[in-house]
Amino acid sequence: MALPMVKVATALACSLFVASLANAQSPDARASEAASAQPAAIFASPVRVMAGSKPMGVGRLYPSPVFRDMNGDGLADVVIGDLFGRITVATRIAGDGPPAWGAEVPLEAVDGKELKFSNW
Amino acid sequence: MSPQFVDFDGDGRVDIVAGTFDGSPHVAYGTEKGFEQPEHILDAEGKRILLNQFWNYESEEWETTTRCDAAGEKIPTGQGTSAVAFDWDGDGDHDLLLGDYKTGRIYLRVNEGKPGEPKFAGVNVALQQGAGPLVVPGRLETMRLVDWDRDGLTDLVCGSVGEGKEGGVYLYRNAGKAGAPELDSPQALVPPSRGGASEPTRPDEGLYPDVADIDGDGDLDLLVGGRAHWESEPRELTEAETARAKELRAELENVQAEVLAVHRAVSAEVEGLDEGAAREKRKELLAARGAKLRSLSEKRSALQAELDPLTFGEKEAFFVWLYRNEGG
Repeated sequence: MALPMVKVATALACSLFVASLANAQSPDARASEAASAQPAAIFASPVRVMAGSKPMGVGRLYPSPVFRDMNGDGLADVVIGDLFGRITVATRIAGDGPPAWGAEVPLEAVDGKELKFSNW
Repeated sequence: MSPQFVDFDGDGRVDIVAGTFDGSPHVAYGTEKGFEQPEHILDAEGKRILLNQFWNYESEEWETTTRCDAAGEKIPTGQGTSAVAFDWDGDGDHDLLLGDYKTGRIYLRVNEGKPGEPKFAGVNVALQQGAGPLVVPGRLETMRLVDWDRDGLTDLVCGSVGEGKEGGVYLYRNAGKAGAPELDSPQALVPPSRGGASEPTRPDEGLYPDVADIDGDGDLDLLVGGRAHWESEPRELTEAETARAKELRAELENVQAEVLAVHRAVSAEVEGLDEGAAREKRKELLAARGAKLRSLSEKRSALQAELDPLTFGEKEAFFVWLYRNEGG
């Protein structure tokens, strides 16, 4: 079943970090604040993400994920593009455990067809 | 193709901007009812925005051009396969950053219009880093915009192609000021892969990152699509496994035969038409058979996924990986 696009009103946590372009501080002051505001990133070993019962992105060429709340429930769904210009959506499953997403479904355009970016 | 959700036309609705392998940026406009099908983003003169190499949809050939190169600059031939909209110069409208997967360079296409009335310049301007053009190590897959260090300025996160197994994710901190970004030296968030794994342990090539605090602990995690390479250790199969592997191979051959049959049938139907008519007819016929071809593709993927653990040696597959930030 294709997923209709829902107008997104709920901002993701990540969008809080998207730049405000107004900043009057000096670079030195910013650097100093940044050092205290953001500890060094230390990443755990990567874990393959599942979309429903399948690994996310499997069987596609160059999957490109992006977090986006597509259904307005305040949770970060994952939208996945690929080399051929197809887009799928894996909806975040609500719950207290580790983040989990449902199976990928194609994103549908207003013409009722799959949204498809031209390629070659 | 790496989607960016952004209100590109300033109408209060989110659109999707993406570069594709055709060499140009596209936009799918958001409407009250959903997204329109994507279209090319054009410059102020109505021309396609490009770097150098591009797919010409009319001639159906790869072509090159220098019409968008800055005058007097010697620029290596590039292909713009990623794009993000961002107000680089702080004048209130979205400019475009175009990523060149061939060289790892990033180009700015300035918007000289205003929100809702874009007028993109006809020339690409290479982003600088240090004393020369910014070049992403291992070439460039895609860019993401994020205020990584929370200083109020947008930083750049880039995923690289890698030369076989050397893909990584790099952070370029913005050390400039609003409307005049200056990008620092790259910091590897995901270091280049060294390969040599016996199972898929990480994305090694073709890394497409995104950034968000996905676990809600206050720091930024990474979600990364990419191809893993590994070499599985051989072991002896049981009798049942051997039989199942044989069945799966036979089923894969059947699927491949069905795919070929679809293409042969299409070829037969366009035979005798002149070149242009044949091209259009072929597109139409393949589109009508799209659901069948997709179904066969999915079936093939499922069979292959079951067969993979029963075969040994060099392997590769695409996955999406979560890198949880435990830095505090």
